[in-house]
Amino acid sequence: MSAVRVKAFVNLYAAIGTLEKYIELDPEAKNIAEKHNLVIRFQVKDGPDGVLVFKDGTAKVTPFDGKIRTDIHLYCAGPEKFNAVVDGKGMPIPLKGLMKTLSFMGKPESPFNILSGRMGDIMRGKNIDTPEKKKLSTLLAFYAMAAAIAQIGNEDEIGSLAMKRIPEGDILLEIKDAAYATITKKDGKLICRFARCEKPKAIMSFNSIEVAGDLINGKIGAMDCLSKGMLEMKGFIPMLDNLNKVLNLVPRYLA
Amino acid sequence: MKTYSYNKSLELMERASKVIPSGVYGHLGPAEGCMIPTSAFPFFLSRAKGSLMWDADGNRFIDYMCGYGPNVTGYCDEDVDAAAQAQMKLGNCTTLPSYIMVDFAELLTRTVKKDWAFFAKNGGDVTSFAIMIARYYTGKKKIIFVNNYYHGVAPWTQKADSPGTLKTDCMHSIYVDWNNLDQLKKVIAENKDDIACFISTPYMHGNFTDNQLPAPGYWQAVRKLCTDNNIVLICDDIRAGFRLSLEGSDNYYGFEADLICFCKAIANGYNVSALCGKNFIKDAAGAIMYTGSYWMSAVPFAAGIANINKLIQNKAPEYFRKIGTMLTDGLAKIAKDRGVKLSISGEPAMFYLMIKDDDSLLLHQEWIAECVKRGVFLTNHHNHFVNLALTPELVNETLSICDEAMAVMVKNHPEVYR
Repeated sequence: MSAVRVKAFVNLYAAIGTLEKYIELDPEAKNIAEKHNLVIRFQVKDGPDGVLVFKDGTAKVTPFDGKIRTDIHLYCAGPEKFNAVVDGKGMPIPLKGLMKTLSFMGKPESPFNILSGRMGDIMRGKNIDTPEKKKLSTLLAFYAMAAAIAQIGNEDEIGSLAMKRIPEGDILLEIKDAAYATITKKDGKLICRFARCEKPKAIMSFNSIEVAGDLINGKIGAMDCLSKGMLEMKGFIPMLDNLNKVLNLVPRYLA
Repeated sequence: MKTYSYNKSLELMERASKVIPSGVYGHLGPAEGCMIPTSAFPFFLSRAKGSLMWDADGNRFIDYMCGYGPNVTGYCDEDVDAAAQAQMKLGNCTTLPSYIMVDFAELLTRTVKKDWAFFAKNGGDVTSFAIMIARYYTGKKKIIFVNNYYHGVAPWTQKADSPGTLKTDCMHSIYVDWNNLDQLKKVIAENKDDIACFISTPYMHGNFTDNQLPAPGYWQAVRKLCTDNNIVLICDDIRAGFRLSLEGSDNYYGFEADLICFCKAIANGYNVSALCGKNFIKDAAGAIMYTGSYWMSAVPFAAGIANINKLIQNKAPEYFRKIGTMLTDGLAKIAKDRGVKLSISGEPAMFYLMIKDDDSLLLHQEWIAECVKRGVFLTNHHNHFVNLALTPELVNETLSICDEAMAVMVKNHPEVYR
C-alpha cells in the first residue's frame, strides 16, 4: 500500500470523482457535460480500475464492474503513470476509442480537460472573484475530502487501521443546508456517496459554508470550531474518532 | 425549569483557544469530554465544594464526574485541605524528601495490602513504570491489553494510527476481549516466552459500551495463567481504586496483582500517584531510573494521608455503594416510567449510563445535554463517580432534574416514544 498507489485511488475517486458535483453545481460545466454521453474506463495496473460515466449532463465515477460497456479504455502501466496523467504530465495508453479519446481529452481545449482544469482551479482557489465561486470552491473541496476519506481509509496502511475500527453503518458529513456526503462502512470497507443518508449512526456537521471553507483550508482548527459550536460531532463518536484519524491523512494525498 | 446559558464560558473559550491548544485539551475539554452539543455544557469553573461546582457564569451543578475521579471525599474537603496547608508551611518540593513520604508509604501499603509503594504524579506515570518493571524483571517484551482499555496517553498505550504514535510503539501490543479466557490462553500459547505482562482495569469500565464486571472465576484464572507463564499481572486501579474497596480492587475481586496502579482518589485531588507491588519485584523497581521534579513533593503526601484516613473512618466504599445504588435505582425507575430503555452498568460507585433506544446514541446525548443544562453534570460516554459529600438530598434533587430532562427528550421524539 504505497503512498503513490493510495494517491492513484484518491485521484480517480476523489479528484476526478468530484466532477459529479462540479457538473451538478456549475451550469457552465453542465452545458459541456450534457453534450457527451460517454463511458471512460481508467485501468491502472496495481491500482484503481474505474469508470467515469457521462450521461445526460451528469457524471459519476464508480469501480469498473466488468459489465459496463465502455467507449474509451485508458490504461496506465502503474499508479505513478496515472498520477502523472492526472497532473497533466503524462498520457495514458488508449486501448479502445482512440478517436473519441482524442476528441474528448486529447488537447487542452478538449471537453474533459476544460472540465477538470476549471474544477481544479476552483478547488485550488484560483480566479475566485465572486461569492458564488467561493461557495462552489468550498463545496467541491468538501466533496473531494469526503471521497478521499473513503479511499484513504481503504488503501492507506495507517488509515486502514483506523478504518477497521469504524463500526458498520452510515456517517453523515454535512455543511448545514448546503452539502451532504455519506460515508458507509460495509463489509469492512468505506464507501462514499454525495448524498444525505436517512439514519446516520454518527454526524459531523459544519454550521456554515464559511466555517467548512476555513476548516478545510486550515485557517481555523477543528477543536476551536468544536468548542465554539461551529462544528458539531454527535452520535456514535468512536465512528468519528476513527474517521478523523483518516481525515488527518487527507492533505497528504489531496493537495 | 429554567435552563442554563454559558456566556462567560464562551468568552473564556474564545480567549483560551488563542493561547492554549484546543482551548481545553484532553478529557476535560469539549472534544475528548464528548460535550454534545457543546452549547449544553460549561467549559470553565469558578469554584467547587463537596459534590457541587459553579461554572464561570455562576451556574450550580451537582457533579457526578468528581474531576474524573480524584475528588473522593469532596471538593475542598476541610480535613484534607488542612493537612495539605499544614505541610505547605513546613515545606513541599524540597532537596530531600520529607519524612512523611515514609508515613504515606506505610499507610498506603498497609491499606492496599502490598509490600512497597513508589510515588509519581499521574496515572500514566505509574502504568508506564509498571510496564518497564515487568519488562526488566521478565526480560520479555510483549504486553497483553484488554480491549476498551485506557492506561494513559504514553505511546505504548496508543494505536499505530494515533497522531504522534509510531507503528513501532505498538509492535509489542496484544489485545484480548474482557472476560475472554480462551483468547487469553490462545495469545499466551502463541507468544510463548515473550509476554512480559498482562495489564487490565479490575473491571471493564471502557467508554461507549456497557461496563462489565468480572465473570465468576475470571480473575482467579487470569492470576493462574500469569503465574504459570511468568507474566507480571498489573492491575490498573487508577479509576476504581478506593471506590470499590480501600484494600485495592484486586483484593475486592479476590485475586492478587503483582503490581497495582493508583492515582485519582488517592489524595482527593492533590497530585500524587502510586505504584504498589509485591516484594519479589521490588528490586526490579529500584533498579530502574525513573523520577520527576515533583514526584516527592510533601504536600500531596500529607493530603493523601488525611484522605485515606478519612476514607477509612467513613467506611467510604460502603457509602459509595449505598449512595450510588440509591441514585441508579432512582434513574432506573424514572426511565422505566417514561418507557426509556436506560442501561446502567458497572459498579454503583462508578455507574455507566446508556440509553439504548437507538444505535447512534443520539437520544442518550440529548438526555444528558438536558440534564447538564438543568444543573446535573453527567457526561455522555464515560463512567461517573460519587464522593463522600454526595448526600441523599442531592441525589433526590438529581433524580428530579434527570426526570424532567428525560421528559423533554421523550417529548422531542414522538417517532420513538409513542
